[in-house]
Amino acid sequence: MLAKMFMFEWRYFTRQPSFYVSMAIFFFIALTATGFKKFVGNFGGNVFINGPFFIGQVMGMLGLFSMFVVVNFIANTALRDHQSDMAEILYCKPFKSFDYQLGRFLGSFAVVVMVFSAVPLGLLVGSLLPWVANTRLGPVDLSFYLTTFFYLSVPTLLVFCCVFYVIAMRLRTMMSVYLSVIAVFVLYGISNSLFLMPEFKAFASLLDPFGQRTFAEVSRYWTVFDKNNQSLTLTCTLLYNRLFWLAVAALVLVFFGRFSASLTLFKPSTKKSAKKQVQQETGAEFIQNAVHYKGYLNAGWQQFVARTVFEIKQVIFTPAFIVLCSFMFLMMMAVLFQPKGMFGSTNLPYTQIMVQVIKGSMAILSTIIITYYSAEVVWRERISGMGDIIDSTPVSNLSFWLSKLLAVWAVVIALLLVAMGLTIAYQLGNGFNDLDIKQYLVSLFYFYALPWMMTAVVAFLFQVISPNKYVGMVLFVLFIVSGFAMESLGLGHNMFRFSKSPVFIYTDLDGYGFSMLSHSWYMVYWGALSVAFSIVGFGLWQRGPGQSLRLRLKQLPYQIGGKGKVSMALAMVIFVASGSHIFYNTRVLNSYASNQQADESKANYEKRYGQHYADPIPAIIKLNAAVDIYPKQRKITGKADFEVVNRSSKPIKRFLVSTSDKSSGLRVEIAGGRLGVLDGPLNTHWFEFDQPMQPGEKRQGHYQVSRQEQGFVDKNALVKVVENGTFFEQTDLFPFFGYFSFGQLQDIAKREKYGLGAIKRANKLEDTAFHTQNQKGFGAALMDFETTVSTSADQIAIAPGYLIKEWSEGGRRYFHYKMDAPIPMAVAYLSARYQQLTENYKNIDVSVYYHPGHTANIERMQQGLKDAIDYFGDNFGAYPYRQARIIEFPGYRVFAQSFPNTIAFSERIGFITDLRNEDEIDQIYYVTAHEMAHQWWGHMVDPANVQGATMVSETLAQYSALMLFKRKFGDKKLRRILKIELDKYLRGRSGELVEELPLMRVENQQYIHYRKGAVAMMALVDLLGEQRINQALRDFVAKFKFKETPYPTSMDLLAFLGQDANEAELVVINRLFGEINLYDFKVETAKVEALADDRFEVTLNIFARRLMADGQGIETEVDLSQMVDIGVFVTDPDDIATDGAPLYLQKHLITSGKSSIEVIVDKRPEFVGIDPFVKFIDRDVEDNVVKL
Amino acid sequence: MLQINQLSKTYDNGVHALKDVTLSVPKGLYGLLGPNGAGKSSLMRTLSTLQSADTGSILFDGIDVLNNPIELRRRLGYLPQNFGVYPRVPADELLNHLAILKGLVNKHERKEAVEGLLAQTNLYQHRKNAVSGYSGGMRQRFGIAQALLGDPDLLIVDEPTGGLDPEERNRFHNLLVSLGQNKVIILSTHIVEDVSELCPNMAVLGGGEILLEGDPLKLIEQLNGRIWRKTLPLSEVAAVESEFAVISKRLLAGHTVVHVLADSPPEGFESAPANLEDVYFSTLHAQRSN
Repeated sequence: MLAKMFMFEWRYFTRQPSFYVSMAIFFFIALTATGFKKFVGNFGGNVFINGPFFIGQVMGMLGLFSMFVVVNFIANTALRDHQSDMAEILYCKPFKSFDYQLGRFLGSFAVVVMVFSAVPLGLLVGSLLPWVANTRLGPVDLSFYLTTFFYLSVPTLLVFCCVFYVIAMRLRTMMSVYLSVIAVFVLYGISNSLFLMPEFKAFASLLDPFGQRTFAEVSRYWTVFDKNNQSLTLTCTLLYNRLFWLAVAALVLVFFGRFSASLTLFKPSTKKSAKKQVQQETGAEFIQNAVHYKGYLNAGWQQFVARTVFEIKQVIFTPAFIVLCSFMFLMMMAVLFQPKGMFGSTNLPYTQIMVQVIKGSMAILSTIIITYYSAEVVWRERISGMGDIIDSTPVSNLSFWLSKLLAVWAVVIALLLVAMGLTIAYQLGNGFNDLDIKQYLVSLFYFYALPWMMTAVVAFLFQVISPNKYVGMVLFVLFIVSGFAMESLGLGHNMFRFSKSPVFIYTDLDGYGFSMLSHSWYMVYWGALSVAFSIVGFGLWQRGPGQSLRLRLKQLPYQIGGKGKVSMALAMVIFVASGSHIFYNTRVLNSYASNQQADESKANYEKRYGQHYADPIPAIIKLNAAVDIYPKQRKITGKADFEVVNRSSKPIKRFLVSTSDKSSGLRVEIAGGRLGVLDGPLNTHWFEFDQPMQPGEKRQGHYQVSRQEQGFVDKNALVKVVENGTFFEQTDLFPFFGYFSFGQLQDIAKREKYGLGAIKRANKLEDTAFHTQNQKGFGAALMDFETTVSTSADQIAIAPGYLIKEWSEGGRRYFHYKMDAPIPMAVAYLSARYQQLTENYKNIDVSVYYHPGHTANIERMQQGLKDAIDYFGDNFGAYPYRQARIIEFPGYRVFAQSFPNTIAFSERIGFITDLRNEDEIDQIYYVTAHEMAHQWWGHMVDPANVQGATMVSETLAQYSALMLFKRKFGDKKLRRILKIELDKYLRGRSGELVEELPLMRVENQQYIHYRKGAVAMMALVDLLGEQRINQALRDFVAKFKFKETPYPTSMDLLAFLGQDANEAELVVINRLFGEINLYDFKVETAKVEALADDRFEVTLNIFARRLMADGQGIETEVDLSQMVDIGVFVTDPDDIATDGAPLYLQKHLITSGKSSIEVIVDKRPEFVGIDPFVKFIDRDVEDNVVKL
Repeated sequence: MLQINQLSKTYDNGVHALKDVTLSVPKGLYGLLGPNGAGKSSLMRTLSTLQSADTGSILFDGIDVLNNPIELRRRLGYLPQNFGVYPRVPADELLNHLAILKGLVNKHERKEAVEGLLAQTNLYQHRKNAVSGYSGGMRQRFGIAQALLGDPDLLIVDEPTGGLDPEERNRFHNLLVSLGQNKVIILSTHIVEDVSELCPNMAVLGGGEILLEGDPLKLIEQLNGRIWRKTLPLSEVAAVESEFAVISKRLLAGHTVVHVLADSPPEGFESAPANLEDVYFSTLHAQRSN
């Protein structure tokens, strides 16, 4: 019986088209995943597409979509008897309920597994296709596919089969199953944000039913080598996760599956029948009523209103909508508390943030709502069986179309209003009484809801032309998905992406800025098309069950009617006209490059000019610039007199000059030469000297240029010159001298495609030719700097230097800044309506320029500046300026950057961060300290343009910031930062695209110079102590302060750090900075014994080893012999505050393999550990400490 | 009043549902008889503007129905053979809603009509209950009520009395007859009795074709004297069927009564008065034998 039922179910589904269709869909998605360049590109150029990591990622991702398959088949199995009205016939037959149900369940599950097996199959076939690059393929190993399929996919499918089967069985409607799918998505989204918080990471990966997070957790530190060779094993987290979910599945099925319960018909829902007719009147008095009234001819409007009210009632006053609201609420909670900052802090509830929370919660939900509700609403009459009656009423198609559309819109709008109410309550609860309702309405409804509403029109159109609602839903989903593929087809312009407009960012400084104009034009454009779609849609509206699309197309002109045709023509005219306007703005006034075109022009630049990479060029040693900023017109003009010198040993005959493509009116004059015509990509010219510049020769020059942001752009929004909050660097306006190496293509696959050789990320450390230039090249020298900058009357303009003079002229404000000593070539201009917080601290002006209202954190910043001046000044050498300023710029860009005596600080990196909770890590203080440290590391001490340069600038800035942070907040918080940094390093190396290098050879790799740098420097503090390091740094600064030719390298830095170190210390220093070492420490067992004298003896059996990795992540075990902390504690070392002293903390010499250590302490210990404070790079730090 | 000319329709799956149907329907009740699958519902749906035809035309009171369906819908009342309703909507609310859709936008008139129809279909006391919870007969009555909204000039009722008890069926028939004076009412059914009780005109549809058309009384007249009857045990039926043109068989107290169409009495048969059923069955029989 069981087997027969199983086979029945199997045969039933394998006869359905849906079986083959879904299998084909999965097969092709998997197949294209391997061929989809952009997608494959995300994994880095060295990850094999038939390797375990790629397979695991794709199968994990598609696992999410497997839910639809599960629902389709398993809910069908559960509900088919009733929905097909077969139940009455079937359930009177003499069979065993248990066999009947279990057999069918298993059959259905087998079908689901079969369908999903198309994914590994598609991946395998995809990797064998002829156009797949050989470099992306390893040897074919079927076990990679099988392990992933059986460890990750099959258990997941079983879990969801069980859960959805039970839900369908118990709640007995398809709707409830759909809602539970949404619920799973939402819960998954919530757990996703949990996963982003380090403290819940392990928990979240254990609880992920899809195993996707689990896979991410297991593979988080995989290097490229591991990603291609490390087969998935069923151990640890993955094992527990799978076991947990299989147990859940089994329990659900056993306790709620009701397999043994006898099969019964669904009871008619009689709950309301208690509400019996109280009145028994027969209505006899109405029987003579006149019923012969004829309908009115002009009833259109009332019919439309009645339909609309009816439709809206049908969607809003339903339990489903309440459920939707609660999902929304949960989603918002998750997004709201999702950390945005670098150390887990969130933002203050400014309206711009609240809008983001709502948008983040609605992003996927809106598509689901539109897909689902459009299908329900369009097919309501057909499905309820009322179609024939309603369709034969004298109501126009337009009324049906519009009223139904309004109903779907109403769902979206109502949900947004509910969300808005919630966030407003949250703001009020947090003491934000200054509500910005206008911003809410404009952002939520004009920027977000309007495009969604247009998408609903498309969903409707698909439903109208489809033979049933499922086809309509599939078409619509394909339409949505195809939107993601447009970019790789070269159709990434928003004019090809329905209802999209250029990315919109609201900032408190600049408001909607340029977005308002561009969004409005795109909305007119897409709105016109939506109207046209609507006209076609209502023209094709299906009336009567048998009206095929072909017949309806024939009747289209009649249905549309004269007015329809006129409106259609009008809509098309508007569509074309607004489209032309957009085209003119985005492709004529502004150049538009698809990603591919941009790549191509970079490649061409490199091919054409690459050989001039190391050519000598004149360096500017004196710059006097006059810059005018016109915020309203978004225009800047500049002219400057300068002096250049040839710092090389060869004469300069010619050199490259390039400007941003927004610049115009470029003039460059240097005595004895002239600027040639436009020569190549990236606005490049040659400047030719009639009389070559001889080594050491100085010449005077002048250049001028202007830049205006014209109209609007489609992508890569121009955010540097804006109405309020202009922030640009010297090279954004003024021309750049020499070969522009920053724009080179990095991606290996792309370089291969354009026939470029392996990228040279940095010059070799030992290449002394490059010790005579800093990272900006030969053209950047120390220079005397002076500037006059003007802006509109209500703004303050700022540039490096001290304010000499300020005046007004012609309705504009002028500022004259001048430096009294040479500065590195790092100049920025900022202009906005600022407020100012200033204090004179030890004869230094310490100021914060901020947007009115952004006052929450400015004192922290000021304090950070002052503390930095003290600590860095005392330990590394005096602060070189009389002024230190932090200046806010709009949140279009999120970073902070240091310029001489000036730090530009994004609105979104600190000004709106919520640090009211004392437990938070004060990222603002930390960032301030880091940027201030660059005044020493990077400015005062400017590293040479070779490998390891960023170890000098960034790693030392990290060190300085951490030391300052430790003084202010103590060891405990420092350790929290270090744990995060260690994790980021290990993850970062897992995403390396080219080669991991030791710190001293870092090639501007952030995970090395920031993350590993922080960990390594703290290990160095542990080794040498703060005093010795600071002394070394003081000596380092003394030698290289504002020193040019040669600039310092990481070797120079290491020489100072090791200046008084002994042999053993030098070995450790080399391991930290000269090699890639990974340690594995573990307490295997530990026991404690009470001694006679009230003391306690602790015995630790430990395991230790050291692994050395090469640039690809291949590890070899090497000898370990190093001093490592052994600690004994009463409280968990993670919780130890600065004053909570350990019972015992000493360094022991630890060697490879197992060893045993005995320690005697005074009090009964609770925790023991090796390297308890994680000073070594160890991938599993949880096993370092055990509880006794 | 209603003129159907050479209407043909073939479905996408190849079923030839209507073959060159030509009918002329005057005011009053018009019966459309036919077995299952004869094309009755196809014709009904085509008349109700829910389906287009491949060729042919339909004219109603000057309206070209196929090319101007919107115009006809203003004057149309339609009760489909099978229909469902929106879930959870009470009868009065739903009828009121449908009344608006039919163009009854005057509130007073609409209220009067809705209440009147609910009373006439004996649903008034159930008006606050959801129609989706109604029994089959009640739902059918609701269907009748909605079809009568807006006083249609063309009323199309497809199998209206299925599921009605005899009392309700009588009530409905009376209602139809009283309405039949000024409008065209097309009653599609496979129950011969309904037609004979109600319709001064009728047609028989079989295999998508009009097999017979006329006044039932006259059609019966034509058969008078040609219908012969015999009561047989079941075992002999097959033999008789092979020998004579048996147009119908019916059981009576355990025996089979066969009706045979013939110009002269076959042996052992007695004469029987012709009725509409004989007309109907003889038509179908004639079609089958072709």
